[in-house]
Amino acid sequence: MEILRVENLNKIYGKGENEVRAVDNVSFQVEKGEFVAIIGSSGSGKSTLLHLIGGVDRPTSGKVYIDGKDIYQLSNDNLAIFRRRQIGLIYQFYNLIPILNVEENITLPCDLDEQKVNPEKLQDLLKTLGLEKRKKHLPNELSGGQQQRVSIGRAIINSPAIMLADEPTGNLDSKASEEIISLLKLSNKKYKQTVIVITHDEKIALEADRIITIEDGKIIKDERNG
Amino acid sequence: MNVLKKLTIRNLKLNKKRTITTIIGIMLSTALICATFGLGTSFQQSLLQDAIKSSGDYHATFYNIPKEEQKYITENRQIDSYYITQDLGYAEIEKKLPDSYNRYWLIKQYDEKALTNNGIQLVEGRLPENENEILIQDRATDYSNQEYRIGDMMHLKIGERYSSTGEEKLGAMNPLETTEDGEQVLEKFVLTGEEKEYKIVGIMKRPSSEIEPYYAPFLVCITYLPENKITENVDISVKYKDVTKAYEITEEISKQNGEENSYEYITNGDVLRWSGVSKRTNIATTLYVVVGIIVVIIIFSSVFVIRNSFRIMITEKYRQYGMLASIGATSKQIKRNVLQEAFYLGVIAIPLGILGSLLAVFILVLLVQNLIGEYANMEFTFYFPWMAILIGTVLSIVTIYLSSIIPARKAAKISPIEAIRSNTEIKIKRKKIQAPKWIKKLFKIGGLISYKNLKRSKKQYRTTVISIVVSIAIFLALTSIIQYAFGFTDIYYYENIGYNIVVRSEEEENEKNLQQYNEISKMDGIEQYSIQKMAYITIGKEYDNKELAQYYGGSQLDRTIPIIAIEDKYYNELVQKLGISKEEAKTGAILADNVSYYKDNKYATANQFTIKEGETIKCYQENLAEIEEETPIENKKQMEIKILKRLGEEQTIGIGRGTHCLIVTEEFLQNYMPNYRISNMYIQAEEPEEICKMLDNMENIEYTNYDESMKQTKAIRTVIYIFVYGFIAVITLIGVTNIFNTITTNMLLRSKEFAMLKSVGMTGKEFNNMIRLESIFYGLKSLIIGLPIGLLLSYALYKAFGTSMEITYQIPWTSIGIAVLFVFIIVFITMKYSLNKINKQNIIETIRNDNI
Repeated sequence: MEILRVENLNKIYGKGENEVRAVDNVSFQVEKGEFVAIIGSSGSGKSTLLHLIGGVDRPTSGKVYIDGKDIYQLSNDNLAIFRRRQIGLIYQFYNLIPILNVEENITLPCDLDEQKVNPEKLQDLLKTLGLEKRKKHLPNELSGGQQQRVSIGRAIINSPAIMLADEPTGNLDSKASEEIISLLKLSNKKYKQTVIVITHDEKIALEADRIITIEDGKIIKDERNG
Repeated sequence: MNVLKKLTIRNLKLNKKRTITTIIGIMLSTALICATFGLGTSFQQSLLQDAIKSSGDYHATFYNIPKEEQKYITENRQIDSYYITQDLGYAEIEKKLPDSYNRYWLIKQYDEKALTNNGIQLVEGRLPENENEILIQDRATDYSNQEYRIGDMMHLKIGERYSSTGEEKLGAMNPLETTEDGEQVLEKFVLTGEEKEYKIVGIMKRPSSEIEPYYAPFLVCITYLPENKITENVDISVKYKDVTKAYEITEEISKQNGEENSYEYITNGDVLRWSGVSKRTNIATTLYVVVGIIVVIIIFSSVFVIRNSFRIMITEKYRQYGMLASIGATSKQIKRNVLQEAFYLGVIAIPLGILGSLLAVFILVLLVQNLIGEYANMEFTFYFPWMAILIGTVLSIVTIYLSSIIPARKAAKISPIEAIRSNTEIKIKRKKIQAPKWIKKLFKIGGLISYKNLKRSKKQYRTTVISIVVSIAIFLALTSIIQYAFGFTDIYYYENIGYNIVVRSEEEENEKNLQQYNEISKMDGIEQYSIQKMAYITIGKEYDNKELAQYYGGSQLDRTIPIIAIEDKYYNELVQKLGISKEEAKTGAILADNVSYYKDNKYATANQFTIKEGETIKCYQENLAEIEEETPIENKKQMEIKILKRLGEEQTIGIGRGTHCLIVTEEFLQNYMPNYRISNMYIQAEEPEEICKMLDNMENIEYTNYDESMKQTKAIRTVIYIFVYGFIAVITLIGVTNIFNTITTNMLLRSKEFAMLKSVGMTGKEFNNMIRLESIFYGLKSLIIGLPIGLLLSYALYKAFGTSMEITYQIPWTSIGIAVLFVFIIVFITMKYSLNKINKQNIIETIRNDNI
């Protein structure tokens, strides 16, 4: 089943001579439950692509369908609501709210949506993330790896259609990186979560079902692993 | 220019808004300090100049100095300049009025310097230039049947005043010697034989009381003293080099010839006082104390603004300093960098503040001069406040230095790793930001975040909360002062009483009175008028307030009070205010009998008569032609009057507070008191001066013009309003700068968080709601602290005024309302401003931007 379809997506910055095509006429599809890695050198446009898929930026032209819905037809507010229900974002620098504790940070999308949080589900999630004993801690009391685990929890709590991760291990040591990757894989397997990861890291890419390589805003390679 | 300096300048340019608000903050503080001192200086100088104008610029005068001793004074090293005056002698006023107390001329001779510096106020003409020319006073014509005009000649027979015994020579300080009842003059006037012929060249105002005492039986006239005519004994007026030692030096000089032989002297009290010299605490020092208190408040608020700005600046550049440190900037360099920034800001802001303050003082002095200069009979002029500028500049520099040195030290201590790694300057502690459960339940997640955020940035918010608190407290306190002070004066001053001239016809018969009033009513420019009629009645002692009588240490008395008929128009207005129907109002009288007296260190109010409203009382008619004190009360014509109501705070035309009377309709008076008289006529005139001039030409007419005093009260009130509200405005402005600075920075620092919230799906509406909630929490907190402090202050002021007045404490609801509204408006506007800025930002760019 197709969960994401990208059609002729363009994102152009600047004008005339200064024009930069960060995303240049990109089209592809992702099936539900796929684990996709997008790789490319710095400045290749991969982050921009990810943000366009995540609905936090708007494209110059082209369309993004998530679960059959053309997300850029939505108003800003509706897009925000769509985001909190259907998209889980993970950033390189975690971007947690420093004044909210672990539990509150994780349940933030539910709270925004005014949904009740299933305590068992939360408990299970905390256990999976290894944060049971830290649930009342504030982000600045956690290590980098722990913080990133919180942001994975936050991304997954609403069982979104797609989980997007932007260099999730970019700021972590190798041990913490491994943990994060295995968590992403676990969520992919356990919750049948569709995951798209942007990375530099060959190791992570090799864990994925599919690797898309981007250069100068264009897809130059799209291959399945193994 | 070294790279750090470049960086400083670039930083200032980059953060334009912050730079500008900081500059405004420093500017306002400097301006406020300078303006306060500047106003003090201008008023002090104006008062000094006024004193010099009327009493001369000398510091002390020594009397009767013999010729050979003069040099001990004139050549004293501590003396800056001196002038010499001497009394030539007295002469009788030629055509003096028969019973006049003022019977002599005193001819004084002034040397060149004395003529220009000894406080002569010329009305017309010029100063005498030789010993045959003379100045006389403008009031000379009041004491003589002769007219004195410039150019006229005066022929004077010089003499001396001697006491009745003939032994003692009388001087300028001796009053007229008379019999005890003042009927007969005892002192003697003895001619010396000298005769003088003077030409009047100028008319002057009455000299100060040091020269011509109020009880003097003479009018001073002044002529020229040529140097070669200096006689044996002269008076020397001196000005010292160091005015602050005026009293000591004067004492010292007077004792030059030994204790017993000391010279008589006087000091010029007014001039010395306004020069800031005094023997005791006095107005000048009071003025300085007031200015001092104001300045303390100002410095307190401005330190907060400036400190806050620098704190914010450091927070913003936390990472940058870490980066600088990591590439090898020493802590000294970083500290210098911060101080440099402070220096640049000061260099721009302080001169601007000084310019602003000069302008403000100039305008204020001009305003005061135009509003009350005429009534105060003095000239308020702008004086360039050198001292104020100096003090203001020094204080501002100190403030800037103190408020930048702490952040500078902090910046210097930043460890590079910490700064680059962590994004937040403030270490958040779990316990500190715990929120009660109901917050989340009631206000949702947005409320929780805003609540926690307030707790997080406690320190930053504290300064802002304090600055709002200061504004609120000062506002409440000062509005209370105005309320009490004016409530106080309102009792004594007339306002909105519907007339500005009261006319009394002195004719004997009612008909003639009416005729005159009728004539007046036809004058141009009379907007409305009202004529009152009156009679007298006596209320028996059985109604007299016993307690009051005891208080005054007497017994109950029969009291005769006027019964006044006011025109129907005013009467109907009054009964409406009192809540009586028109029909009922015709059947009786309204009683005014409020008494205010001093009891237990307080003013208390009571009623003169123990009459109840609605009671019908027995009273006795008086014959107006002759008050029959001798006639026993039983023999007077008895009558009954129903007392409808008692007059409280309500006012009506012609019945001042504290008047005891009965107020009735004209019909009532005519029916029951046929022996009434026409009393006063109350006029509301467009140009009261014009009417008064016409009234002057009428026979048997007396009048009082209330216009002047009303205008005066209003003008003084306006001036007070300008100062008080001006002060509140500037303090508030400082507060606003503070609020603006803190909130915008805080929002900017959190823009990454905001972007994050949006990226996980917070809608614009939810986001705005969250910020709105934060403003409310914020405003509430300031109000919860600020209002009680303000109320406490206002209550303290009430207590201060309360000792002399019986007024109940009123919570200043209006002021509270204004304060609440204002706080929320300011906070909302600032939040809205930052919101607009944040909402314009792209989520992704903000999240990725590491420079925040």
